[in-house]
Amino acid sequence: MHEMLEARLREALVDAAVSQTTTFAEAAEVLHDSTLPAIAVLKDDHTVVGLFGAKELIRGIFPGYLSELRHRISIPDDLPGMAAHVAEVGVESVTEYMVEPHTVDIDTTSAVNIAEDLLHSDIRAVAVLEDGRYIGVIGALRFCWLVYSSLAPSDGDAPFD
Amino acid sequence: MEIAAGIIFALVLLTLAFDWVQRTKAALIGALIFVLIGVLDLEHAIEAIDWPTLGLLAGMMIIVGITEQTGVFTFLALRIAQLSGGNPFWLMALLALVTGVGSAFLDNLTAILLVVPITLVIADQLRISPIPLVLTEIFASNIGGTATLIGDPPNILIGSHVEELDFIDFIINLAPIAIFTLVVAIGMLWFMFRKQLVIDPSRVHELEAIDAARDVRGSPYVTRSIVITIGTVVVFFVHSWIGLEPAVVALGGATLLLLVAAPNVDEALGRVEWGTMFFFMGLFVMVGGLEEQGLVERVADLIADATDGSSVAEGLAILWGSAVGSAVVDNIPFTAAMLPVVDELQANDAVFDDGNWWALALGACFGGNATIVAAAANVAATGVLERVRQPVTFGAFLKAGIPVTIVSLGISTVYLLLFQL
Repeated sequence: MHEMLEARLREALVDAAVSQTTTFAEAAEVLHDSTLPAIAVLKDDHTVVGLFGAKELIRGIFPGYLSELRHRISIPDDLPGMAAHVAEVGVESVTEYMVEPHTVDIDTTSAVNIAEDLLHSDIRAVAVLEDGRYIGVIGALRFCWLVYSSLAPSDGDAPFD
Repeated sequence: MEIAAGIIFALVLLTLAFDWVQRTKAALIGALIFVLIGVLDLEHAIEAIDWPTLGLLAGMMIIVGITEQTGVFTFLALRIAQLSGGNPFWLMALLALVTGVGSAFLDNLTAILLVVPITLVIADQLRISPIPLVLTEIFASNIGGTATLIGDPPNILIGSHVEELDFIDFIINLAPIAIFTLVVAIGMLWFMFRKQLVIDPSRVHELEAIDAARDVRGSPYVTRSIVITIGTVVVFFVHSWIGLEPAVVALGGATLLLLVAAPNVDEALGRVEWGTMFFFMGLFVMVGGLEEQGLVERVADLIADATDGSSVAEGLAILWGSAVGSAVVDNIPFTAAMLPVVDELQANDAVFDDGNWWALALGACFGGNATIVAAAANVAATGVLERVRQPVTFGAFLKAGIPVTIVSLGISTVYLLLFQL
Protein backbone atom coordinates (compact mmCIF):
# COMPACT_ATOMS: atom_id res chain seq x y z
CA MET A 1 0.00 0.00 0.00
CA HIS A 2 1.21 3.47 -0.78
CA GLU A 3 2.78 5.16 2.27
CA MET A 4 0.34 8.04 2.21
CA LEU A 5 -2.69 5.71 2.14
CA GLU A 6 -1.17 3.48 4.80
CA ALA A 7 -0.63 6.44 7.11
CA ARG A 8 -4.19 7.62 6.63
CA LEU A 9 -5.51 4.08 7.11
CA ARG A 10 -3.63 3.77 10.41
CA GLU A 11 -5.20 7.06 11.54
CA ALA A 12 -8.66 5.90 10.52
CA LEU A 13 -8.52 2.47 12.19
CA VAL A 14 -10.85 2.01 15.11
CA ASP A 15 -10.00 -0.27 17.99
CA ALA A 16 -13.26 -2.17 18.13
CA ALA A 17 -12.68 -5.66 19.41
CA VAL A 18 -13.87 -8.03 22.09
CA SER A 19 -12.32 -11.13 23.57
CA GLN A 20 -13.65 -14.54 22.54
CA THR A 21 -14.91 -14.99 26.10
CA THR A 22 -17.23 -11.98 25.76
CA THR A 23 -20.98 -12.55 25.93
CA PHE A 24 -23.37 -11.76 23.09
CA ALA A 25 -24.86 -8.87 25.10
CA GLU A 26 -21.46 -7.27 25.77
CA ALA A 27 -20.40 -7.67 22.13
CA ALA A 28 -23.69 -6.12 20.97
CA GLU A 29 -23.00 -3.07 23.13
CA VAL A 30 -19.44 -2.68 21.81
CA LEU A 31 -20.72 -3.03 18.23
CA HIS A 32 -23.41 -0.44 18.83
CA ASP A 33 -20.99 2.05 20.40
CA SER A 34 -18.38 1.58 17.67
CA THR A 35 -20.77 2.65 14.87
CA LEU A 36 -18.77 0.26 12.63
CA PRO A 37 -20.42 -2.41 10.46
CA ALA A 38 -18.57 -5.06 12.51
CA ILE A 39 -16.16 -5.58 15.37
CA ALA A 40 -13.36 -8.11 15.71
CA VAL A 41 -13.37 -11.07 18.09
CA LEU A 42 -9.87 -11.79 19.43
CA LYS A 43 -7.97 -14.56 21.13
CA ASP A 44 -5.73 -13.68 24.08
CA ASP A 45 -2.71 -13.38 21.75
CA HIS A 46 -4.53 -10.71 19.68
CA THR A 47 -5.12 -12.90 16.67
CA VAL A 48 -8.55 -12.44 15.08
CA VAL A 49 -10.93 -15.41 15.34
CA GLY A 50 -14.07 -13.82 13.94
CA LEU A 51 -16.12 -10.77 13.09
CA PHE A 52 -19.40 -9.79 14.69
CA GLY A 53 -21.65 -7.41 12.75
CA ALA A 54 -25.20 -6.25 12.30
CA LYS A 55 -26.32 -9.44 10.54
CA GLU A 56 -25.03 -11.54 13.43
CA LEU A 57 -26.87 -9.21 15.81
CA ILE A 58 -30.11 -9.81 13.88
CA ARG A 59 -29.50 -13.57 13.89
CA GLY A 60 -29.04 -13.52 17.64
CA ILE A 61 -31.87 -11.21 18.65
CA PHE A 62 -34.54 -12.56 16.32
CA PRO A 63 -35.65 -16.21 15.97
CA GLY A 64 -33.20 -18.51 14.18
CA TYR A 65 -35.85 -19.73 11.75
CA LEU A 66 -35.94 -16.38 9.92
CA SER A 67 -32.83 -17.22 7.90
CA GLU A 68 -34.24 -20.70 7.15
CA LEU A 69 -37.50 -19.49 5.62
CA ARG A 70 -37.49 -19.79 1.84
CA HIS A 71 -39.97 -16.92 1.49
CA ARG A 72 -40.98 -13.94 3.53
CA ILE A 73 -44.13 -14.41 5.58
CA SER A 74 -45.81 -11.94 7.90
CA ILE A 75 -45.20 -12.97 11.50
CA PRO A 76 -46.68 -10.89 14.32
CA ASP A 77 -44.35 -9.54 17.00
CA ASP A 78 -44.31 -11.77 20.05
CA LEU A 79 -42.70 -9.49 22.63
CA PRO A 80 -42.74 -11.90 25.62
CA GLY A 81 -41.27 -14.66 23.44
CA MET A 82 -38.66 -12.33 21.97
CA ALA A 83 -37.73 -11.03 25.44
CA ALA A 84 -37.19 -14.59 26.70
CA HIS A 85 -35.09 -15.34 23.62
CA VAL A 86 -32.98 -12.19 24.03
CA ALA A 87 -32.35 -13.03 27.71
CA GLU A 88 -31.16 -16.50 26.67
CA VAL A 89 -28.95 -15.27 23.84
CA GLY A 90 -27.49 -12.39 25.87
CA VAL A 91 -25.47 -14.67 28.12
CA GLU A 92 -24.18 -16.89 25.33
CA SER A 93 -20.63 -16.49 24.02
CA VAL A 94 -20.11 -14.15 21.07
CA THR A 95 -18.23 -16.99 19.36
CA GLU A 96 -21.57 -18.78 18.86
CA TYR A 97 -22.68 -15.99 16.56
CA MET A 98 -19.51 -14.52 14.97
CA VAL A 99 -18.57 -15.30 11.38
CA GLU A 100 -15.24 -16.16 9.77
CA PRO A 101 -12.92 -13.14 9.94
CA HIS A 102 -12.00 -11.04 6.92
CA THR A 103 -8.53 -9.77 7.63
CA VAL A 104 -5.94 -7.75 5.73
CA ASP A 105 -2.31 -7.14 6.58
CA ILE A 106 -1.48 -3.46 6.53
CA ASP A 107 2.09 -4.05 5.32
CA THR A 108 1.35 -6.37 2.45
CA THR A 109 -2.18 -5.58 1.21
CA SER A 110 -2.90 -2.84 -1.31
CA ALA A 111 -5.88 -0.52 -1.08
CA VAL A 112 -7.31 -2.21 -4.17
CA ASN A 113 -7.14 -5.59 -2.46
CA ILE A 114 -8.92 -4.21 0.61
CA ALA A 115 -11.65 -2.90 -1.70
CA GLU A 116 -11.82 -6.34 -3.33
CA ASP A 117 -12.20 -8.03 0.08
CA LEU A 118 -14.93 -5.61 1.11
CA LEU A 119 -16.84 -6.28 -2.10
CA HIS A 120 -16.64 -10.02 -1.64
CA SER A 121 -17.73 -10.15 1.98
CA ASP A 122 -21.19 -9.86 3.51
CA ILE A 123 -19.75 -7.77 6.32
CA ARG A 124 -18.70 -4.37 5.07
CA ALA A 125 -15.67 -4.21 7.35
CA VAL A 126 -12.27 -5.84 7.64
CA ALA A 127 -9.99 -6.47 10.58
CA VAL A 128 -6.55 -5.00 9.90
CA LEU A 129 -3.47 -6.88 11.07
CA GLU A 130 0.20 -6.09 11.46
CA ASP A 131 2.56 -9.06 11.75
CA GLY A 132 -0.48 -11.26 12.17
CA ARG A 133 -1.77 -9.29 15.19
CA TYR A 134 -4.93 -7.22 15.29
CA ILE A 135 -4.45 -3.43 15.12
CA GLY A 136 -7.98 -2.22 14.32
CA VAL A 137 -11.09 -2.42 12.20
CA ILE A 138 -12.09 -0.29 9.23
CA GLY A 139 -15.55 -0.10 7.73
CA ALA A 140 -16.21 0.12 3.99
CA LEU A 141 -17.63 3.64 4.09
CA ARG A 142 -14.76 5.07 6.11
CA PHE A 143 -12.20 3.25 3.97
CA CYS A 144 -13.67 4.46 0.69
CA TRP A 145 -13.92 8.02 1.92
CA LEU A 146 -10.31 7.85 3.09
CA VAL A 147 -9.15 6.73 -0.37
CA TYR A 148 -11.45 9.11 -2.21
CA SER A 149 -10.52 12.15 -0.16
CA SER A 150 -6.84 11.30 -0.54
CA LEU A 151 -7.01 11.02 -4.33
CA ALA A 152 -9.73 13.45 -5.41
CA PRO A 153 -8.45 16.70 -6.92
CA SER A 154 -8.70 19.69 -4.63
CA ASP A 155 -8.68 23.26 -5.96
CA GLY A 156 -8.50 21.87 -9.46
CA ASP A 157 -5.32 19.84 -8.91
CA ALA A 158 -5.28 16.07 -8.73
CA PRO A 159 -2.77 14.96 -6.05
CA PHE A 160 -0.97 12.53 -8.39
CA ASP A 161 -0.88 14.45 -11.72
CA MET B 1 -11.22 -57.57 -12.17
CA GLU B 2 -14.60 -58.72 -10.89
CA ILE B 3 -13.29 -58.79 -7.31
CA ALA B 4 -11.62 -55.40 -7.71
CA ALA B 5 -14.86 -53.89 -9.02
CA GLY B 6 -16.81 -55.38 -6.10
CA ILE B 7 -14.30 -54.08 -3.54
CA ILE B 8 -14.27 -50.57 -5.02
CA PHE B 9 -18.07 -50.42 -5.10
CA ALA B 10 -18.26 -51.69 -1.50
CA LEU B 11 -15.74 -49.03 -0.47
CA VAL B 12 -17.85 -46.33 -2.12
CA LEU B 13 -20.93 -47.60 -0.26
CA LEU B 14 -18.96 -47.62 2.99
CA THR B 15 -17.79 -44.07 2.32
CA LEU B 16 -21.40 -43.01 1.81
CA ALA B 17 -22.57 -44.85 4.94
CA PHE B 18 -20.02 -43.12 7.16
CA ASP B 19 -20.12 -39.81 5.26
CA TRP B 20 -16.33 -39.80 4.87
CA VAL B 21 -16.46 -37.92 1.57
CA GLN B 22 -19.30 -35.91 0.04
CA ARG B 23 -21.46 -38.37 -1.94
CA THR B 24 -20.92 -36.88 -5.41
CA LYS B 25 -17.17 -36.97 -4.96
CA ALA B 26 -17.32 -40.59 -3.75
CA ALA B 27 -19.41 -41.69 -6.76
CA LEU B 28 -17.22 -39.83 -9.27
CA ILE B 29 -13.99 -41.21 -7.77
CA GLY B 30 -15.46 -44.73 -7.91
CA ALA B 31 -16.52 -44.28 -11.54
CA LEU B 32 -13.13 -42.83 -12.48
CA ILE B 33 -11.29 -45.77 -10.91
CA PHE B 34 -13.61 -48.19 -12.75
CA VAL B 35 -12.66 -46.61 -16.09
CA LEU B 36 -8.95 -46.22 -15.24
CA ILE B 37 -8.44 -49.85 -14.21
CA GLY B 38 -10.52 -51.11 -17.12
CA VAL B 39 -13.62 -52.45 -15.33
CA LEU B 40 -15.37 -50.87 -18.30
CA ASP B 41 -14.12 -48.58 -21.07
CA LEU B 42 -15.22 -45.00 -21.66
CA GLU B 43 -17.68 -45.94 -24.40
CA HIS B 44 -19.45 -48.42 -22.16
CA ALA B 45 -19.28 -45.99 -19.22
CA ILE B 46 -21.18 -43.39 -21.25
CA GLU B 47 -23.65 -46.04 -22.42
CA ALA B 48 -24.21 -47.08 -18.80
CA ILE B 49 -25.49 -43.63 -17.85
CA ASP B 50 -29.28 -43.64 -17.79
CA TRP B 51 -29.95 -40.34 -19.56
CA PRO B 52 -33.77 -40.51 -19.23
CA THR B 53 -33.39 -40.63 -15.44
CA LEU B 54 -31.14 -37.57 -15.56
CA GLY B 55 -33.60 -35.81 -17.89
CA LEU B 56 -36.49 -36.54 -15.54
CA LEU B 57 -34.51 -35.33 -12.53
CA ALA B 58 -33.30 -32.16 -14.25
CA GLY B 59 -36.75 -31.34 -15.62
CA MET B 60 -38.40 -31.73 -12.22
CA MET B 61 -35.68 -29.70 -10.51
CA ILE B 62 -36.27 -26.82 -12.93
CA ILE B 63 -40.07 -26.98 -12.59
CA VAL B 64 -39.99 -27.13 -8.80
CA GLY B 65 -37.23 -24.52 -8.61
CA ILE B 66 -39.06 -21.93 -10.71
CA THR B 67 -42.47 -22.53 -9.10
CA GLU B 68 -41.02 -22.60 -5.61
CA GLN B 69 -39.52 -19.14 -6.15
CA THR B 70 -43.02 -17.66 -6.38
CA GLY B 71 -43.67 -18.60 -2.74
CA VAL B 72 -46.82 -20.51 -3.62
CA PHE B 73 -45.75 -23.73 -1.88
CA THR B 74 -44.90 -21.87 1.34
CA PHE B 75 -48.28 -20.15 1.15
CA LEU B 76 -50.15 -23.42 0.66
CA ALA B 77 -48.27 -25.26 3.41
CA LEU B 78 -48.94 -22.55 5.97
CA ARG B 79 -52.59 -22.14 5.02
CA ILE B 80 -53.13 -25.89 5.40
CA ALA B 81 -51.39 -25.92 8.81
CA GLN B 82 -53.62 -23.04 9.89
CA LEU B 83 -56.68 -25.21 9.19
CA SER B 84 -55.76 -27.19 12.33
CA GLY B 85 -57.10 -24.31 14.42
CA GLY B 86 -54.36 -24.99 16.95
CA ASN B 87 -55.45 -28.57 17.66
CA PRO B 88 -52.10 -30.38 18.16
CA PHE B 89 -53.19 -33.65 16.59
CA TRP B 90 -54.58 -31.97 13.50
CA LEU B 91 -51.57 -29.67 13.31
CA MET B 92 -49.26 -32.70 13.24
CA ALA B 93 -51.51 -34.58 10.80
CA LEU B 94 -51.95 -31.65 8.41
CA LEU B 95 -48.24 -30.84 8.38
CA ALA B 96 -47.55 -34.52 7.67
CA LEU B 97 -50.18 -34.53 4.95
CA VAL B 98 -48.86 -31.41 3.22
CA THR B 99 -45.31 -32.81 3.36
CA GLY B 100 -46.44 -36.21 2.10
CA VAL B 101 -48.42 -34.79 -0.82
CA GLY B 102 -45.65 -32.29 -1.58
CA SER B 103 -43.11 -35.11 -1.62
CA ALA B 104 -45.26 -37.20 -3.93
CA PHE B 105 -45.57 -34.54 -6.62
CA LEU B 106 -42.52 -32.31 -6.15
CA ASP B 107 -39.60 -34.08 -4.58
CA ASN B 108 -39.16 -34.90 -0.96
CA LEU B 109 -36.10 -32.74 -0.36
CA THR B 110 -37.81 -29.61 -1.68
CA ALA B 111 -40.99 -30.41 0.22
CA ILE B 112 -39.16 -30.84 3.50
CA LEU B 113 -37.06 -27.70 3.07
CA LEU B 114 -40.24 -25.71 2.47
CA VAL B 115 -42.25 -27.14 5.32
CA VAL B 116 -39.64 -27.34 8.10
CA PRO B 117 -38.99 -23.57 8.41
CA ILE B 118 -42.75 -22.93 8.49
CA THR B 119 -43.04 -25.53 11.23
CA LEU B 120 -40.37 -23.69 13.21
CA VAL B 121 -42.42 -20.48 12.97
CA ILE B 122 -45.60 -22.29 14.04
CA ALA B 123 -43.90 -24.10 16.92
CA ASP B 124 -42.34 -20.86 18.12
CA GLN B 125 -45.65 -19.02 18.04
CA LEU B 126 -47.43 -21.90 19.83
CA ARG B 127 -44.56 -22.37 22.34
CA ILE B 128 -44.10 -26.07 21.55
CA SER B 129 -41.01 -28.02 20.54
CA PRO B 130 -40.64 -28.25 16.75
CA ILE B 131 -38.79 -31.58 16.95
CA PRO B 132 -41.83 -33.94 17.05
CA LEU B 133 -43.43 -32.06 14.17
CA VAL B 134 -40.26 -32.05 12.06
CA LEU B 135 -39.60 -35.76 12.68
CA THR B 136 -43.19 -36.49 11.62
CA GLU B 137 -42.63 -34.43 8.46
CA ILE B 138 -39.43 -36.34 7.64
CA PHE B 139 -41.25 -39.67 7.90
CA ALA B 140 -44.22 -38.29 5.95
CA SER B 141 -41.89 -37.06 3.25
CA ASN B 142 -40.28 -40.47 2.74
CA ILE B 143 -43.63 -42.24 2.87
CA GLY B 144 -45.37 -39.70 0.60
CA GLY B 145 -42.53 -39.83 -1.93
CA THR B 146 -43.20 -43.55 -2.31
CA ALA B 147 -46.59 -42.87 -3.87
CA THR B 148 -45.53 -41.66 -7.33
CA LEU B 149 -42.94 -42.18 -10.03
CA ILE B 150 -41.52 -38.69 -9.41
CA GLY B 151 -41.78 -38.65 -5.60
CA ASP B 152 -38.54 -40.21 -4.46
CA PRO B 153 -35.22 -40.88 -6.24
CA PRO B 154 -35.59 -44.70 -5.98
CA ASN B 155 -38.93 -44.45 -7.79
CA ILE B 156 -37.46 -42.14 -10.42
CA LEU B 157 -34.72 -44.71 -10.99
CA ILE B 158 -37.20 -47.59 -11.23
CA GLY B 159 -39.69 -45.64 -13.37
CA SER B 160 -37.04 -44.58 -15.85
CA HIS B 161 -35.42 -48.00 -15.94
CA VAL B 162 -38.47 -50.24 -16.35
CA GLU B 163 -40.25 -49.47 -19.62
CA GLU B 164 -43.32 -51.49 -18.65
CA LEU B 165 -44.11 -49.25 -15.65
CA ASP B 166 -45.72 -45.86 -16.12
CA PHE B 167 -46.88 -43.08 -13.82
CA ILE B 168 -50.34 -44.60 -13.36
CA ASP B 169 -48.82 -47.99 -12.43
CA PHE B 170 -46.94 -46.30 -9.59
CA ILE B 171 -50.11 -44.51 -8.42
CA ILE B 172 -52.22 -47.69 -8.55
CA ASN B 173 -49.65 -49.95 -6.91
CA LEU B 174 -47.95 -47.62 -4.45
CA ALA B 175 -50.23 -44.68 -3.61
CA PRO B 176 -52.83 -46.66 -1.63
CA ILE B 177 -50.22 -48.34 0.55
CA ALA B 178 -48.35 -45.05 0.96
CA ILE B 179 -51.55 -43.32 2.13
CA PHE B 180 -52.41 -46.16 4.50
CA THR B 181 -48.87 -46.24 5.90
CA LEU B 182 -48.89 -42.47 6.36
CA VAL B 183 -52.12 -42.64 8.36
CA VAL B 184 -50.72 -45.43 10.56
CA ALA B 185 -47.42 -43.56 11.00
CA ILE B 186 -49.22 -40.36 12.04
CA GLY B 187 -51.15 -42.38 14.64
CA MET B 188 -47.94 -43.94 15.98
CA LEU B 189 -46.09 -40.65 16.08
CA TRP B 190 -48.99 -38.91 17.81
CA PHE B 191 -48.90 -41.62 20.46
CA MET B 192 -45.13 -41.12 20.86
CA PHE B 193 -45.11 -37.33 20.89
CA ARG B 194 -48.52 -36.28 22.24
CA LYS B 195 -47.12 -35.17 25.62
CA GLN B 196 -44.69 -32.79 23.91
CA LEU B 197 -47.44 -31.21 21.86
CA VAL B 198 -49.63 -29.56 24.47
CA ILE B 199 -50.73 -26.19 23.12
CA ASP B 200 -51.80 -23.32 25.34
CA PRO B 201 -55.22 -22.24 23.93
CA SER B 202 -54.29 -18.60 24.47
CA ARG B 203 -51.54 -18.98 21.83
CA VAL B 204 -53.83 -20.27 19.06
CA HIS B 205 -54.65 -16.81 17.70
CA GLU B 206 -50.87 -16.35 17.05
CA LEU B 207 -51.05 -19.20 14.51
CA GLU B 208 -53.93 -17.57 12.72
CA ALA B 209 -52.17 -14.19 12.66
CA ILE B 210 -49.32 -15.47 10.46
CA ASP B 211 -49.82 -14.33 6.88
CA ALA B 212 -48.12 -16.47 4.27
CA ALA B 213 -49.09 -14.43 1.24
CA ARG B 214 -46.42 -11.75 1.62
CA ASP B 215 -44.18 -13.03 -1.19
CA VAL B 216 -46.93 -14.58 -3.33
CA ARG B 217 -48.68 -11.22 -3.74
CA GLY B 218 -45.58 -9.65 -5.22
CA SER B 219 -44.67 -12.46 -7.59
CA PRO B 220 -45.59 -11.89 -11.27
CA TYR B 221 -45.27 -15.53 -12.30
CA VAL B 222 -47.54 -17.25 -9.76
CA THR B 223 -50.40 -18.14 -12.12
CA ARG B 224 -48.19 -19.31 -14.99
CA SER B 225 -46.02 -21.41 -12.67
CA ILE B 226 -49.01 -23.07 -10.98
CA VAL B 227 -50.74 -23.80 -14.31
CA ILE B 228 -47.63 -25.34 -15.87
CA THR B 229 -46.72 -27.36 -12.77
CA ILE B 230 -50.24 -28.78 -12.46
CA GLY B 231 -50.33 -29.30 -16.22
CA THR B 232 -47.09 -31.28 -16.08
CA VAL B 233 -48.47 -33.52 -13.31
CA VAL B 234 -51.64 -34.06 -15.38
CA VAL B 235 -49.54 -35.04 -18.42
CA PHE B 236 -47.62 -37.49 -16.19
CA PHE B 237 -50.91 -39.25 -15.53
CA VAL B 238 -51.49 -39.78 -19.26
CA HIS B 239 -47.89 -39.98 -20.50
CA SER B 240 -48.03 -43.58 -21.64
CA TRP B 241 -51.35 -43.06 -23.45
CA ILE B 242 -49.93 -40.17 -25.44
CA GLY B 243 -46.61 -41.94 -25.94
CA LEU B 244 -44.34 -39.56 -24.01
CA GLU B 245 -41.54 -40.73 -21.74
CA PRO B 246 -41.54 -39.26 -18.20
CA ALA B 247 -38.28 -37.45 -18.97
CA VAL B 248 -39.89 -35.77 -22.01
CA VAL B 249 -42.87 -34.69 -19.89
CA ALA B 250 -40.61 -33.20 -17.19
CA LEU B 251 -38.28 -31.51 -19.65
CA GLY B 252 -41.28 -30.27 -21.66
CA GLY B 253 -42.80 -28.66 -18.57
CA ALA B 254 -39.42 -27.22 -17.62
CA THR B 255 -38.89 -25.73 -21.08
CA LEU B 256 -42.34 -24.15 -21.04
CA LEU B 257 -41.70 -22.65 -17.62
CA LEU B 258 -38.32 -21.34 -18.76
CA LEU B 259 -40.09 -19.65 -21.67
CA VAL B 260 -42.88 -17.97 -19.74
CA ALA B 261 -41.85 -17.69 -16.11
CA ALA B 262 -38.08 -17.37 -15.95
CA PRO B 263 -36.71 -14.01 -17.10
CA ASN B 264 -33.19 -15.18 -16.24
CA VAL B 265 -32.56 -18.61 -17.77
CA ASP B 266 -29.13 -19.04 -16.18
CA GLU B 267 -30.57 -18.40 -12.74
CA ALA B 268 -33.41 -20.86 -13.37
CA LEU B 269 -31.02 -23.53 -14.63
CA GLY B 270 -28.95 -22.92 -11.51
CA ARG B 271 -31.81 -24.64 -9.67
CA VAL B 272 -30.65 -27.95 -11.11
CA GLU B 273 -28.70 -29.74 -8.39
CA TRP B 274 -25.65 -30.58 -10.43
CA GLY B 275 -24.09 -32.41 -7.50
CA THR B 276 -27.00 -34.85 -7.50
CA MET B 277 -26.85 -35.24 -11.28
CA PHE B 278 -23.15 -36.13 -11.19
CA PHE B 279 -23.78 -38.44 -8.22
CA PHE B 280 -26.24 -40.37 -10.38
CA MET B 281 -23.80 -40.42 -13.32
CA GLY B 282 -21.04 -41.85 -11.12
CA LEU B 283 -23.40 -44.50 -9.78
CA PHE B 284 -24.64 -45.50 -13.22
CA VAL B 285 -21.06 -45.97 -14.42
CA MET B 286 -20.18 -48.12 -11.41
CA VAL B 287 -23.33 -50.23 -11.69
CA GLY B 288 -22.65 -50.61 -15.44
CA GLY B 289 -19.16 -51.86 -14.54
CA LEU B 290 -20.52 -54.36 -12.00
CA GLU B 291 -22.94 -55.60 -14.65
CA GLU B 292 -20.21 -55.94 -17.25
CA GLN B 293 -18.07 -57.94 -14.84
CA GLY B 294 -20.92 -60.37 -14.12
CA LEU B 295 -21.21 -59.35 -10.47
CA VAL B 296 -24.85 -58.36 -10.79
CA GLU B 297 -25.69 -61.78 -12.24
CA ARG B 298 -23.85 -63.43 -9.35
CA VAL B 299 -25.82 -61.44 -6.74
CA ALA B 300 -29.07 -62.26 -8.55
CA ASP B 301 -28.11 -65.96 -8.56
CA LEU B 302 -27.35 -65.79 -4.84
CA ILE B 303 -30.77 -64.28 -4.14
CA ALA B 304 -32.44 -66.85 -6.40
CA ASP B 305 -30.60 -69.71 -4.66
CA ALA B 306 -31.33 -68.37 -1.18
CA THR B 307 -35.00 -67.98 -1.97
CA ASP B 308 -35.13 -71.31 -3.76
CA GLY B 309 -36.86 -69.83 -6.80
CA SER B 310 -39.90 -68.78 -4.75
CA SER B 311 -41.23 -65.47 -6.04
CA VAL B 312 -42.72 -64.71 -2.62
CA ALA B 313 -39.42 -65.22 -0.80
CA GLU B 314 -37.63 -63.30 -3.56
CA GLY B 315 -39.96 -60.31 -3.25
CA LEU B 316 -39.73 -60.24 0.54
CA ALA B 317 -35.94 -60.55 0.40
CA ILE B 318 -35.85 -57.56 -1.95
CA LEU B 319 -38.21 -55.57 0.31
CA TRP B 320 -36.38 -56.14 3.58
CA GLY B 321 -32.91 -56.26 2.00
CA SER B 322 -33.37 -52.94 0.25
CA ALA B 323 -34.81 -51.41 3.42
CA VAL B 324 -31.74 -52.44 5.44
CA GLY B 325 -29.41 -51.38 2.60
CA SER B 326 -31.11 -48.00 2.28
CA ALA B 327 -31.09 -47.43 6.03
CA VAL B 328 -27.38 -48.07 6.30
CA VAL B 329 -26.11 -46.51 3.07
CA ASP B 330 -28.43 -44.19 1.15
CA ASN B 331 -31.40 -45.33 -0.86
CA ILE B 332 -30.16 -43.92 -4.18
CA PRO B 333 -26.98 -46.01 -4.68
CA PHE B 334 -28.68 -49.03 -3.24
CA THR B 335 -31.57 -48.80 -5.70
CA ALA B 336 -29.22 -48.07 -8.60
CA ALA B 337 -27.30 -51.25 -7.77
CA MET B 338 -30.48 -53.30 -7.35
CA LEU B 339 -32.02 -52.36 -10.73
CA PRO B 340 -29.96 -54.82 -12.79
CA VAL B 341 -30.24 -57.43 -10.02
CA VAL B 342 -34.05 -57.36 -10.24
CA ASP B 343 -33.76 -57.38 -14.05
CA GLU B 344 -31.61 -60.46 -13.80
CA LEU B 345 -34.03 -62.19 -11.40
CA GLN B 346 -36.78 -61.66 -13.94
CA ALA B 347 -34.71 -62.66 -16.95
CA ASN B 348 -36.15 -66.16 -17.03
CA ASP B 349 -39.76 -65.16 -16.40
CA ALA B 350 -41.96 -65.61 -19.46
CA VAL B 351 -44.36 -62.84 -18.37
CA PHE B 352 -43.40 -59.46 -16.90
CA ASP B 353 -44.04 -59.45 -13.16
CA ASP B 354 -43.99 -56.09 -11.43
CA GLY B 355 -44.06 -57.42 -7.84
CA ASN B 356 -40.30 -57.27 -7.31
CA TRP B 357 -40.18 -53.67 -8.52
CA TRP B 358 -42.81 -52.61 -5.97
CA ALA B 359 -40.90 -54.52 -3.30
CA LEU B 360 -37.76 -52.60 -4.25
CA ALA B 361 -39.57 -49.23 -4.29
CA LEU B 362 -41.24 -49.85 -0.91
CA GLY B 363 -38.07 -51.18 0.71
CA ALA B 364 -35.83 -48.39 -0.56
CA CYS B 365 -38.28 -45.56 0.18
CA PHE B 366 -39.52 -46.78 3.58
CA GLY B 367 -36.00 -47.83 4.58
CA GLY B 368 -35.13 -44.15 4.23
CA ASN B 369 -36.96 -43.52 7.52
CA ALA B 370 -34.80 -45.76 9.69
CA THR B 371 -31.76 -43.60 10.36
CA ILE B 372 -30.79 -39.96 10.17
CA VAL B 373 -28.51 -40.64 7.17
CA ALA B 374 -30.82 -42.95 5.23
CA ALA B 375 -32.36 -40.27 3.00
CA ALA B 376 -31.41 -36.78 1.86
CA ALA B 377 -34.59 -35.32 3.40
CA ASN B 378 -33.59 -36.61 6.86
CA VAL B 379 -30.16 -35.01 6.66
CA ALA B 380 -31.55 -31.71 5.35
CA ALA B 381 -34.34 -31.40 7.94
CA THR B 382 -32.21 -32.33 10.94
CA GLY B 383 -29.58 -29.91 9.60
CA VAL B 384 -32.13 -27.08 9.77
CA LEU B 385 -33.03 -28.11 13.35
CA GLU B 386 -29.37 -28.05 14.30
CA ARG B 387 -28.92 -24.56 12.87
CA VAL B 388 -31.79 -23.26 15.01
CA ARG B 389 -30.31 -24.96 18.07
CA GLN B 390 -32.79 -27.81 18.28
CA PRO B 391 -30.44 -30.69 17.52
CA VAL B 392 -31.71 -34.24 17.07
CA THR B 393 -29.20 -36.93 17.97
CA PHE B 394 -28.70 -40.10 15.92
CA GLY B 395 -30.21 -42.09 18.80
CA ALA B 396 -33.24 -39.82 19.21
CA PHE B 397 -33.95 -40.19 15.50
CA LEU B 398 -33.63 -43.97 15.73
CA LYS B 399 -36.16 -44.11 18.59
CA ALA B 400 -38.85 -42.85 16.26
CA GLY B 401 -37.38 -43.97 12.92
CA ILE B 402 -36.98 -47.67 13.68
CA PRO B 403 -40.58 -48.27 14.87
CA VAL B 404 -41.97 -46.30 11.91
CA THR B 405 -39.77 -48.25 9.47
CA ILE B 406 -40.60 -51.65 10.96
CA VAL B 407 -44.34 -50.95 10.93
CA SER B 408 -44.12 -49.57 7.35
CA LEU B 409 -42.27 -52.67 6.21
CA GLY B 410 -44.74 -54.89 8.06
CA ILE B 411 -47.60 -53.20 6.21
CA SER B 412 -45.65 -53.56 2.94
CA THR B 413 -45.05 -57.26 3.61
CA VAL B 414 -48.77 -57.91 4.10
CA TYR B 415 -49.59 -55.79 1.04
CA LEU B 416 -47.07 -57.59 -1.17
CA LEU B 417 -48.24 -60.99 0.04
CA LEU B 418 -51.89 -60.15 -0.55
CA PHE B 419 -51.70 -58.28 -3.82
CA GLN B 420 -48.32 -58.50 -5.55
CA LEU B 421 -46.35 -61.69 -4.94
